[in-house]
Amino acid sequence: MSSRILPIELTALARIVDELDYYQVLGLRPEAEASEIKRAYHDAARSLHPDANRHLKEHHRIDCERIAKRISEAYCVLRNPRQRKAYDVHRVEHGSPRLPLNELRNRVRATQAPTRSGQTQEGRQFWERATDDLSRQDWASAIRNLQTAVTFEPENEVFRVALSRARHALHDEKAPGGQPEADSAPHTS
Amino acid sequence: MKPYAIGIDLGTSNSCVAILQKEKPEVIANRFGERTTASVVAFDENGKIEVGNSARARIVQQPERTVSSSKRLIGRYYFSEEVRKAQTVSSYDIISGPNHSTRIQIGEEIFSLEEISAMVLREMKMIAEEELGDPVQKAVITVPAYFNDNQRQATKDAGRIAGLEVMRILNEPTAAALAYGFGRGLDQRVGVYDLGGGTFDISVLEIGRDVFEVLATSGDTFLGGDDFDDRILDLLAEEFVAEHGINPRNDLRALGKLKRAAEEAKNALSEEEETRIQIPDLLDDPAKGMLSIERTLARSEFDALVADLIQRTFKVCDEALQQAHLTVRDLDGVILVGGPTRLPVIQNAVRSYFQQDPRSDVDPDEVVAVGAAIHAASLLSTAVPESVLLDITPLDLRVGVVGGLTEPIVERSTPVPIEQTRRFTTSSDFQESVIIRVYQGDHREAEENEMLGQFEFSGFPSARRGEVSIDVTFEIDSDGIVQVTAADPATGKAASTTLTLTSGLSGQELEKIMEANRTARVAPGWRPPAAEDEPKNQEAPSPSFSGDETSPAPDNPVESAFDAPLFDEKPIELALPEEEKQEEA
Repeated sequence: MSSRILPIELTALARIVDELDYYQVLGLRPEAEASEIKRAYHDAARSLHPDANRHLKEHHRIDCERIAKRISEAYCVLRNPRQRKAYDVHRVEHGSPRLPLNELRNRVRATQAPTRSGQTQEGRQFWERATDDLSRQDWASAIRNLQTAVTFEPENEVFRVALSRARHALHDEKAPGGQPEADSAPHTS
Repeated sequence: MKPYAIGIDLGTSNSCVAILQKEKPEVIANRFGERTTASVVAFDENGKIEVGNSARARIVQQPERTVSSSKRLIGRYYFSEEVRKAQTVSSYDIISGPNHSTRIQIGEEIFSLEEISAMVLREMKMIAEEELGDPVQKAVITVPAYFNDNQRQATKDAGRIAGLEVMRILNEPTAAALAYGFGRGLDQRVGVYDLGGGTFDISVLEIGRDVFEVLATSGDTFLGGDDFDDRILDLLAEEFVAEHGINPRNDLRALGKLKRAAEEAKNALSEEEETRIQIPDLLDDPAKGMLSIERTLARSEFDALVADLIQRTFKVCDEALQQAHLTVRDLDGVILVGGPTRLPVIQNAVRSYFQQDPRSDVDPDEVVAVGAAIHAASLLSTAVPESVLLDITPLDLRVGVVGGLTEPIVERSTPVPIEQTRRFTTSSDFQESVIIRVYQGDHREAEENEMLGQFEFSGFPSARRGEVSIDVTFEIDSDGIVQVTAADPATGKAASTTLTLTSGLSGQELEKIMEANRTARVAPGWRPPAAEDEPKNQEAPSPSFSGDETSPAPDNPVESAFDAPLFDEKPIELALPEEEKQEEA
């Protein structure tokens, strides 16, 4: 079981938390591995989550809420590799420790817009074929095309999800009593 | 007196109450020995109120005085799709209340949904008190992860009306995961597939010993076990129409009987390969006399009736897994929650989708209440907590901008607690105030989202449009309470509101009902004041308006803002700053 933070430490931390960058908030080095980020978030939650500090006086609990909000923000940014990259650029270029999530996401979106329909020519080509297959509910062919698309772009989540859905639809079609859906075009939301 | 804190799973069809005592969570059975209690409230002609399975039995005799599935309506505007849908299938009268709220009319009396839910909650509280032999004051109440803020606030108010201090509104899947992983030191990723009476939720959680982190959550508030019943009901009704040329759904008593038969048939098919449906004397036809229904329903026939509903749940699962950046193979366990998940057709489909057997050591009817009880005990204690829950926002929180559009400030899946600020500007020249409208939902168009509330912000310098900066800050604290602040960064002037209901009960109504409860054992219905003599600011909900000392607060700007029609077009809206507009184009 984790040890408790002292109220005086909470107050001190609350005072400087806005000046800390997201790595500092989570007690990480800027070159930390992705796996360390989650662990740091869980560790921070154990000692700094408001639920873990309910025994404190109200003004200390307010400090705690404030810190917890920054911890969530830091984790939200750093857990996503693309957001983390965009944040690193911002942090180094502007020397500013915080960046609104919304602005960060817009920056990330601006750089990754094409991934929905594929980043490689082959990926796009097989994705298009698969989309046709899916609209015709030709699951077997869709699976083949999606598998190929995934080989070219193993990181593409849209492709991976569509593939698992097509497999599922095929399985249901074969299973007695199962009904494939009429509306099975891949959704890209 | 020893303080007790209970966990209540307030379900669409059934509710369950549990408590953690001596480190052991236990479900508390009602006086009939039943571990769940029907979330049904029946009002008899003499003003007597019954709650539970005995109330459910009255659906047949007094369909118009028996309220079931009220969870589908709580915190919903009268004009919402869900209310319209409920009106077509419900046997009781659903009417419109002040501020576009939804009310239930029983005879001459009108009830808010909060009061109906409070009756169920009070019953659960009493079940616990009978068992413990002491009054119970505190509770954690669960809601579907996908409930919006209005629905959460309304549920919280229902708890207050029931005489409970609601320590936390907890998400059902989070509660289920807590019950599953509590004290076991697990290191796992789990999926919680929660098909309740009226809603479907899927959540993906990571359990790291004592930390329960929600990675993703998704849901469909229009899909539940009730829809499965309705499929059987429709089948029976259509066959009846084909045979006799009369629609039994048009007769309230017949509809009640059909509903009951459909539900019983569904439940029977959890155990049996086929079931016999018998509804004697369903309808009295002047020409043909008493007409009945008698038919066998095979499991395979039922499975085909609901196949598309089950498919819809997996679409939602795809979404959640995609959000969590995981595939089904990354999950170490699948927990089933909700009565309908006992159906073999669902268990088979779940097994094939997740490519693993769902956990059999978790009771789908009780696991949520157990998790709520564990969390209640943890919030009651001042000791180092044995578990920490890290939840996320289920839907975008947005602010309305010019043109009937919205801009997100806190997007879905953001860990809470959180605080985020975005800068806006004015949309017309020399505008003196702006209306800050707050929405929840994933759509750019304002009308597609649920409106949570609105307030007016003024006192910034008069200037040409686009020249004034207005910072809008959304804060969600660890209790899930949303606070919205608008500030002028140039002067530091600020106005803020804690979002309470726009669709539910106002603070005054709530006080009135609670006062009535203190004097009478059974709450009398709330009666609407006559529209003409209604003082203007009495009907308005009263969010706490904590305007800055220096800010020139007009006479109750917040309350008057709430009186404004919901979607009216005022020329005093927010706009995006010029540079951002170009970015978006």
